[in-house]
Amino acid sequence: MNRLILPIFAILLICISSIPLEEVDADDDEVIKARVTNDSGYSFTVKEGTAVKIKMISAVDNKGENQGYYDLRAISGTHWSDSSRKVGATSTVNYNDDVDRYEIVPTFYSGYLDVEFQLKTVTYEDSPTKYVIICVVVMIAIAGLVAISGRKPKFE
Amino acid sequence: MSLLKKTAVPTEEERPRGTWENDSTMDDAQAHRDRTYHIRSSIQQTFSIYLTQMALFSKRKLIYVMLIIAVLIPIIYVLIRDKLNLNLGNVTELSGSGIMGLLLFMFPFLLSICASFLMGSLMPKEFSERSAYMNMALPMSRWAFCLGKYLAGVTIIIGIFVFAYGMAMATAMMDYEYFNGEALAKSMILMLLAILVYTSFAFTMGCVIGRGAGILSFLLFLLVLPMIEFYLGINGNIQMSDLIYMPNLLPDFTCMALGSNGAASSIGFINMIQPQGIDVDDFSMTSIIVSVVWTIGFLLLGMIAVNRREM
Repeated sequence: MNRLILPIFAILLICISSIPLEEVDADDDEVIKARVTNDSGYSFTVKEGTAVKIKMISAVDNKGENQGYYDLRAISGTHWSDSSRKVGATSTVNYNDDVDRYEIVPTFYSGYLDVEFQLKTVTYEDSPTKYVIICVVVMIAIAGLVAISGRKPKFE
Repeated sequence: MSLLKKTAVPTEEERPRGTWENDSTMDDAQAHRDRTYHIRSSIQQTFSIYLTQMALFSKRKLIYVMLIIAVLIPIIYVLIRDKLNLNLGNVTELSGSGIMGLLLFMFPFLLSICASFLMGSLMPKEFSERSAYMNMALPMSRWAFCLGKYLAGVTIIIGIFVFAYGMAMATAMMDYEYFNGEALAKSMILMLLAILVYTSFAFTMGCVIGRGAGILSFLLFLLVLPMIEFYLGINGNIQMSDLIYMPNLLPDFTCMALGSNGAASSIGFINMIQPQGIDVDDFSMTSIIVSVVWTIGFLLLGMIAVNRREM
């Protein structure tokens, strides 16, 4: 009976993951680069229902250590902000009727006023389906190993 | 009545004869003289121990407790979803992968418990229950014995946390359709590396110091090592960005790679309150090599300790 519990959990995982599973067509990444300062400001738009990844790089030293990846789902009226060691940014997501796209407006509040930011947005549509499948396959494999572990050895 | 019934004693003619008492001879096939017997190969020995240990693990309650905790992830999320205000100050977490990071918040703490107490007790239990004296007397290499046990432990722990990972992913998929695939892949690799690092260390502690290895490993992972690293970082002995090479912080990086700033560990809590400059994007091939070397090094150390042990 003990050996059956792990397979039961594997089946449970399959059941739970299969309920909300939705296929999402992969789309080509859309990359928008913009160099902004505290004064200039910049807004950029993304397609409806997609997620964006914002990469902030300090333009002063142009080092990767001052960068951060943040992803969010574009929902009208939502606010997003984050800060790291040297960079900090707040963005507002709004729906723009004119262009039929969501608009992300970054407003900066960084304490380092001399820092410029390079914002890179990557619009992506990625489905976690394959990762769920990996989890399920690993679980089934391990459950199978546990199940066969109690077999009586064959003596020839 | 049947108990009182005496079985008739066979007469001299009825008594079964042994082969040594009759004149008949057996050919080589009947007497199995044509068979040669060999000690099984190291791989077969390892696999036998592996399966035996897997069967023993199926009776460990800790494994089921961990699996039940993983089942609680969607239940808790569904219960508090409406009440949960994900706007933490100015920060709004809106992506599926970010929600996964929050759901796996307890990963560092639970991995410390699971790896320390499951792997740390593997070898000490063999000796305290005296089963090692029976197993090691078999024609079997001690290397295979140790490796089989270690691999079984790693497999079970991978099973537990892959299940938890799947649960968190399935839960996040209830509300979110879009995930950062790059972050998911990265955090999965980090999770596997974290499991290897933690299990090898706890296993070696069990081989070297015996009883008490579990609690010692747990304290080292969760408090002592991160605090030493943090202290060195604060005092400038090491760069804070160099913490990315510390294998004991891999569970924290697993959560951070998904977009969560914090994790249930000492460094994770500190990072949540005040980001200390650990950037998971800096995780490189060097960090992977450090983790793999750590795993192999500690595993060899543990196996050498068992090999040199006098029974």
